[in-house]
Amino acid sequence: MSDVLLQLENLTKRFPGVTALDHVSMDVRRGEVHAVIGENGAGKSTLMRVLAGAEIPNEGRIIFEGREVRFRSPLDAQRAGVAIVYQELSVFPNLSVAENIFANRQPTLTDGLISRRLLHEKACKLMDIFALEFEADVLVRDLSMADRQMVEILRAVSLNPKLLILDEPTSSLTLSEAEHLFELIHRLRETGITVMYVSHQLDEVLRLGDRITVLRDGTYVGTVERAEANEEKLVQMMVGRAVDLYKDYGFHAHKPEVTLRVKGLTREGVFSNVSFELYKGEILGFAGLVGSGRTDVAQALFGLQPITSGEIELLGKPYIPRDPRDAIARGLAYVPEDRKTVGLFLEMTLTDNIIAPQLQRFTRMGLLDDRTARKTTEQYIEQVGIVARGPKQRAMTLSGGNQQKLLLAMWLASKPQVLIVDEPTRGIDVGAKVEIHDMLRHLADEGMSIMLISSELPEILTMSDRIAVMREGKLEAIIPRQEASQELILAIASGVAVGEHNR
Amino acid sequence: MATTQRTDTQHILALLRKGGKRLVTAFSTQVGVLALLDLIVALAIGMASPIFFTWANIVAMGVAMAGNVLASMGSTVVLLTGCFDLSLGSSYGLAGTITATALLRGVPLWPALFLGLCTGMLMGLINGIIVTKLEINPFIATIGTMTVGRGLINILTRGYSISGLPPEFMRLVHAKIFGLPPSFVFMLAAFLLTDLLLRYWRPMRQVYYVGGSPVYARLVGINVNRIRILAFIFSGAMAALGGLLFTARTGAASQQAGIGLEMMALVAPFLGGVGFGGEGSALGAFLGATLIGLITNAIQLLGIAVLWQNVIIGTFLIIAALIGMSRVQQASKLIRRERRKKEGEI
Amino acid sequence: MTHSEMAPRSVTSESALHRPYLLLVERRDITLLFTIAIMVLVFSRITPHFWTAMNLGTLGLAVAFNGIVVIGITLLMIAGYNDLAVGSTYGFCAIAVGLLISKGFPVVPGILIGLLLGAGIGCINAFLVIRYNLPPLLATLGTQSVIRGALWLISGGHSIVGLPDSFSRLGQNKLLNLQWPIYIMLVFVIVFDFLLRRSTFLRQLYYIGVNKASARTSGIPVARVISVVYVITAILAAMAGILDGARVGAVYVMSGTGLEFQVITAAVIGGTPLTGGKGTILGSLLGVIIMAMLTNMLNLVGVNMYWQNVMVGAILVAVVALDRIVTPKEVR
Repeated sequence: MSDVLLQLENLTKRFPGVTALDHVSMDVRRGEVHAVIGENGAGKSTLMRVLAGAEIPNEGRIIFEGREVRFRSPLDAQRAGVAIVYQELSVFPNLSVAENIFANRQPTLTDGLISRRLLHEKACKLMDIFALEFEADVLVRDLSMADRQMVEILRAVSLNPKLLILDEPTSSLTLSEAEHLFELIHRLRETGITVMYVSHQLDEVLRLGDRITVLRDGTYVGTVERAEANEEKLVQMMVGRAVDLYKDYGFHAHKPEVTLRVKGLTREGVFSNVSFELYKGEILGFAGLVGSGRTDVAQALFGLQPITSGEIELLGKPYIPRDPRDAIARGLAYVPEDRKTVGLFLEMTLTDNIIAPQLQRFTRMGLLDDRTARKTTEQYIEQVGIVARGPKQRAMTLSGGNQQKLLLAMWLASKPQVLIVDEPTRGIDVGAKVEIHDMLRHLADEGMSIMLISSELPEILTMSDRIAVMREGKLEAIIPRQEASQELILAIASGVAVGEHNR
Repeated sequence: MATTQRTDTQHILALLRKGGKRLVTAFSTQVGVLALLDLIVALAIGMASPIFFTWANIVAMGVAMAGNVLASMGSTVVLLTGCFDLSLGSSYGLAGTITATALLRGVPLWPALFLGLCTGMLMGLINGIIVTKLEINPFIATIGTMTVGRGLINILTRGYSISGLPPEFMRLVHAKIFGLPPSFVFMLAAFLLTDLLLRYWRPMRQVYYVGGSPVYARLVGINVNRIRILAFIFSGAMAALGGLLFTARTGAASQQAGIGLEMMALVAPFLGGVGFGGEGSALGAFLGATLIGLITNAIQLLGIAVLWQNVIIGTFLIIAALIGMSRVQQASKLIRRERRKKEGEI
Repeated sequence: MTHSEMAPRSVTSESALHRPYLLLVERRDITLLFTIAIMVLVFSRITPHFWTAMNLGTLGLAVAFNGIVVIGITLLMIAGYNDLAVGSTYGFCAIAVGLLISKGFPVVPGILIGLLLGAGIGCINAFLVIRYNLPPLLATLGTQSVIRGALWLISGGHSIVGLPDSFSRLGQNKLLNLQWPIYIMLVFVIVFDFLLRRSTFLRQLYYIGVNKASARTSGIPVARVISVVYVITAILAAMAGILDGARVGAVYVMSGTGLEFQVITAAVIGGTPLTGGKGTILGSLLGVIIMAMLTNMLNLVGVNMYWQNVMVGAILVAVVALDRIVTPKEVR
């Protein structure tokens, strides 16, 4: 029996205006965990969709288990033994876990009559194998993102596939949940399933993959065995040039003035007794596990969430956050973590987006001053380095990295004194990541106070001057940069070590 | 997590046993609130009028409700797939009109009735094709068919009712099934059938998948377009059935038949918690139609001016929606908070 | 599935949301104008009675009332909201004013009261939708019923006829052979079209319609904007109903029934999708014109009123289908 499960030859897929896959050839060995990595836009997702039968390639062949196959629909791929878990959680929120797992394959007694009992049983059996906590009757809508992903994985696994494809599975998972997932993958591998794991996270890929394939701009760059793989090499293959990701910015002294002073900030049930000071010209990193309350605190400061008690002093004056409009007027800016759903106006132009947080500034006698708006937009496009044709372009046509830059520009244009950024480099390509890091550092040096919320520890460690660690709604400690390390932060964030560090 | 084998009864008991919290959450749902509302209103009417709880009145109420219930069943299925059908009223009226016209031309009884039913199904088919193949918004599409249908009714009836129908048809006016008027029986049957099919028949269950996420439904192999077309055909058939029952009951095909039915067929499901896209059940829609039926009955029994009917129904709609929304919001906030707490820990 | 990273849409699709005032129309408006032009040509050929001053006056009137109402509906729909109660508001306020005036109440204050009632209804709608977060379709479905019921209550089911000249003057006086309501409508349309394109306040409607959450985060006062627009919509509906009563010299109990469907359809034809984020007043007006021309033409030709319904329905579907076929997929 051949060692090779899947062979791809010259797969090409074109969309109007772009070639997503350009003569990609590779092979996947039976029983391995094969990682596929690349920047956003590299073609990874398209490749997986082709393998799963959701897209039909323009050219090329797929040879599965020694035979050439043509998948004309997802069902074809399923029947052949290929199952995929998509990145965008495609679940049915209005239905139960069990009905999601066995979507359109519910166990029946006869004549298409569903047996609720069998459905429940089979679902429970599956869930037991993976020791999950929620119940089979729960509506998926009420589950957390991570649990939803679990449901999707269960669905894929229940198909008894020969090849399981996971497309960016950890994008909505916490660290501990990701660990869980990795264990799962090992266990799956032991049962003989071959796994393809798509990601743009280097550490995951280096950890999980037996072999790692790199795609760039739709083309196949190369495949590396785990033993030979390291971060530098992969980044070089992904970007095409040497890039210094997470370079050490070194220590930057902040100015003596306190721009933001927070005392005893509490929101019942979400966060309690949060106190800290933010200085002019510093980057204060906020680390913690998902759910520790960082985003909640930030949103509360910005007026998006209510506060039960606490005092805030902004630029020396007392500040009671009422709504975002008020916050913006007082000099705060909040760059949300989910740029697509809460941040940008994708169907509108760059100009529309950039002026949105401060429409009043561009208003003369009730009417909008389009010319000034356009000029300001051009200015910021250049300043922030957005790759675009002009201020009239629609935001949805920008790449992920450029969209994130647009989001930043939107808030920078309001000329804030305090900038809160929430996961500023999530899901964007390495090149843009570095640019944004440089930009933030530069802004801080010029005097802006920055609260940097991030789940990427390397990012926090290299950028922050001080690091605040939150756990379960409480601010556990604030660590100066020199004393910080990944292990220390994790320990505090998970409550293992009792912090003796000063606030 | 129990993995032991269970019989269906034990399964149900186990679910029931999962206790107080579940019950409270259940009653926090739209359906629960509605059921309570129905109960309260029924009791109130019963206290105000001695005639209410008599068998004769209940049957009469059921017969009056029949059209609404049937239309609501059809509307629910269409709503679940993420569309809506504003042409129900025209299907209702047209079915009766076509049957009556056919009877007058000498077509025998059952074929004429069948023809009427087919009319509704045909309208549904047309709706379905326009919405899926031409990709036109259901609002516009069904307004279009509604207008066309209403126009056809007007043409065929020339503004009056079609009466003078052959004796074999007129015999239907007083017919009984199991001692009950056919409208009553069909109403219950339609409700039970729709509810059970939606819950337990796999092909019909696909409707929930289509409504929940049409994109993903395609990926699991469901033919979204076909389901939507079938949903429209079903709703057209239900409406036509209602229209036929109405015609059989009154012995004539009225030009006014069905006007405003589509509104009721939206209000009842909305009351019952049916939302666009996979939310809700036929049970909810039935309870909603029941509420409307109770109010209408109350108005007749208690001699309240008909003018109040709209006001009352509108107010109930708003109240039910408010209660439903706030309960649902509370419940999901609670659940989300619990999960948040869980996440914060390891 | 998000292809935004993979397949950038044709980048010539610039935002069609707003243009400098000089360039009045956008691509869709041109298509509609073209359609109207063709309709005029065809109709004039079919019958000489079409292009006459008298007929155009009738046509203009038909457009006037719906045109006023469609302004408010368009604003709401752009933001992703809706108002199914405009028909009931139209009728209710007209009946209220009719009642007052027929009992001897002075005309101008009477009309003001009618408009105030409209404002009140708008507040109720806004309250339900904003404060309680009810889906607009549901909430206004409810208010629609309640208000229609209230209408029956205060009128006792009787239409009010024989209103005094001091009132019906408003609707019947002519300037250059066109009745006043037509001019009133034009004024409102021009003013609101301008404001929608250029004022900050109304521009916010687009932001809300495209992405409500982003709008909130950007500090746009969603509650305030939407409440104001609901009140505007109701007042406009009230005004149109009152003008209609003035024109006829009587107010009917069935007044306004089915209005919401007509105006929403007109707005959709005019380029305001039900999901919001796009739309213009001019476009909606063109939609109203197209629908009015159709009905007018069928009347002229002597088509049986019943056949009219059939044809209007069919043509409606055809127009929208045509638009879908003609518009390139990404602009939708």
